[in-house]
Amino acid sequence: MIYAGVDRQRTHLVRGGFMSVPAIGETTIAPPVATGEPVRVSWEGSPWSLAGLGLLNTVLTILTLGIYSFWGRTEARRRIWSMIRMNGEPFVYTGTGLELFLGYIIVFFIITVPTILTFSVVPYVATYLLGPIAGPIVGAIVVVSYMVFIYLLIGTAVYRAMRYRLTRTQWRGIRGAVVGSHWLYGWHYFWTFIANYFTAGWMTPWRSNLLHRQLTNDMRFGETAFKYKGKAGPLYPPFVLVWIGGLIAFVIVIGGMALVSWTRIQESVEAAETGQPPVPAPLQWTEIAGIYGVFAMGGLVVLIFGAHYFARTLNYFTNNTTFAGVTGFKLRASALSLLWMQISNFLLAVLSLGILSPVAQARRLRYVVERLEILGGVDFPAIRQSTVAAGKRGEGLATAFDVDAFS
Amino acid sequence: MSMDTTTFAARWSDGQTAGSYRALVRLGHALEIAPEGVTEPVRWSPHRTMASVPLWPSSAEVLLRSLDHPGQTIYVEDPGFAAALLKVAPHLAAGSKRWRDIRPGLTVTAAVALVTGAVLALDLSPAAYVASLLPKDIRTIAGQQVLQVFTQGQGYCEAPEGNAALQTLTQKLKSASNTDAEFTVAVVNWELVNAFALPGEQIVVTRGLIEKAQSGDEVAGVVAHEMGHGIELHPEAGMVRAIGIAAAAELVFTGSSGTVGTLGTQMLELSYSRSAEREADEHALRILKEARISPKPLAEFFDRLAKEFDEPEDGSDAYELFSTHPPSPERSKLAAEAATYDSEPAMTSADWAALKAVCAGQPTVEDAPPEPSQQPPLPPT
Repeated sequence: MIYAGVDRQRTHLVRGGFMSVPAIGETTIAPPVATGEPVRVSWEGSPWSLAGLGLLNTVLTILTLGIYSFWGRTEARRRIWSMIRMNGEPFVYTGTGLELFLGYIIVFFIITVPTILTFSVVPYVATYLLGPIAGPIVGAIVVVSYMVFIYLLIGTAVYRAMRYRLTRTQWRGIRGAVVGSHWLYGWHYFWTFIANYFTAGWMTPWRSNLLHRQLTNDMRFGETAFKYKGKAGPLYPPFVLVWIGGLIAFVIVIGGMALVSWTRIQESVEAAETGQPPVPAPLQWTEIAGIYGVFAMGGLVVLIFGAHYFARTLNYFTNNTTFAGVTGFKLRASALSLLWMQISNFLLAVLSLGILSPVAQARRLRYVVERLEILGGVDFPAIRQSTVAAGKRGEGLATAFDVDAFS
Repeated sequence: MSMDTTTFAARWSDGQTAGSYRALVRLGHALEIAPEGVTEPVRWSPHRTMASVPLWPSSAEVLLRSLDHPGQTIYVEDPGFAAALLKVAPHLAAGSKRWRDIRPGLTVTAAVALVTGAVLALDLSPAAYVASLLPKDIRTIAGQQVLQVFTQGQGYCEAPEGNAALQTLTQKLKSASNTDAEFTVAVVNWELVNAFALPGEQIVVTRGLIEKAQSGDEVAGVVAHEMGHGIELHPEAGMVRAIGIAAAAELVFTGSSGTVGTLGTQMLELSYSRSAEREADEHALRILKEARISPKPLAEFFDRLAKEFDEPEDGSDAYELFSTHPPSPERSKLAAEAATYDSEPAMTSADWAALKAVCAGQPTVEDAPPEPSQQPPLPPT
């Protein structure tokens, strides 16, 4: 379907949180006549073709005491980005290993070293300056305040990593951008994290919606803005289901445990009646297997409900992202396929000791690309090159915190 | 589809917008691009051209960008183009590009290896230098912190007569050391045989060592050796080194190893290099000579422990001393040769008996204290 009078652009750009989400954007200047070119995203090649690269990266990383990892990650991204096509033409990752390396070194000196010194030196210095009573108290206050500051930085790290990746992503030579304040995002990230803790997690959908809205509305492809119009409300029904799933899992575990140890319970009741001390029989392997089985079943229930919420959120986020007022595309993530993708990816990365993580990363992106449908057309010549400065350093903060905007 | 062997059909983007043009690319000394509807052809220097998608001779598609024309791209879907392009611009091949990309990384690795090698080869100790800058109060507080971790729930042996005897010995050795160092010596209630020097001129001797020793001279030798470590600031250097190693590990493992939390553990496992041990021994011999105490009993003590180390009576790991103070023939010889002056016992027999009983009445504690709890260096995610 092509909407007349409106041009439309759709691009696949990675975004924050647990995995990539495609988004649509809005032109800043709407041209009067639609010359829409139909848009199709597709995936080219097999994620497994990155297995060799994963092995090479691991070997070189070990040989260089970790220094190569920045170049290895860059090479993996270059290959993965090129597997995503829009109208047949590949996406391009233009970041370099050196940028990632320098970004990390700078963060090492302004964050990691002060952190080590704060933990190891401040208590001594405080005691030295203020004596044995006031010193440790002041030292503890300094350390705790520092921790708060560090937590404040986590959200900014996510945002800045996203900005780095978008400015290093190109299609037909046009690059992405993120134009807002990383401090504002970091602050939202921080206070909602604390508030969510005190509301027993019930702010989770509201929080993800808030963070997603800020990030999406700050995103650009060229000069063209993205707009997100979703609300937290529709995310609550699947979220309530997660809690119900938790209850079901609890009943399964308790009931299952009672079933597995039924004879044991009977024996101890009899022993109590006869007044003899119970003699515990050694644990049978059937009982051990039963207990593991019960916990596995409970865990699976929680995972399925969690995946359902996750899939609904992804679809909702995608379907409510707009471009020039038009919602023209649809994501079809489903709980089971998502669960399988996440579990198999987890096993891939863990069982291969991280060697296959580029494969897992590619599978994660392919999952979204292959389930995305785009309706309508885009006046590509109306999308102008970004004028936002690209910045010189890469996502060091995110690396130091081990948070990732991408995978 | 190729028109001839050097001209190929392509799509060209101008870098201003996301539109694209049909174009012809001719491979010669330059890449000559003739977009449809654009009068002036565009020329790219092959040396300023980059492959945006990894490029092999067999690649079915080629995506290029130019450093001279930011944003411009050429996309060619022609199985013959990659091989033809690589003839003109071999540096675009994925392999050689990758090699160029990782060169800075390899340079950094080589530089780190070189500096590390130089520090080891020239026996430089940056940690010792930093340690020498620390004021006395800081060193004392650091030592007290380590001692606190050390003695968690273990306690000291504090029988008054024994303690007084130890103080007398300490004073004697301290004045013989000819330094301003204010040494304090304490006995901790552990069964293992060991002695430690801690930051801030603090020395700890274990109950196991006191009970294993056969004379006050032996204990005096051990204490003098630990004083040697203290004079040379070896414990302080070890602490600085531990922090440095933690920082380096944090750097190498990109912040994932929780190294800061293991600092305390590392400080407990201070083990000195051979040269540090030799320095401490030299100080010990000097102090003992000045105090007119024979170093022979110390050598004998080491020999005896070495023998028992080979055939432990109880099969235990009680001779922990040897993991940090490896016995060496040179060391025994050094002690034996130095015994060329008149000497008197380090302690009166009454004092020695009192010291021997400093832990009497206290239940023995078999194991070293638990490791200090670990703190995450950065918030978990």
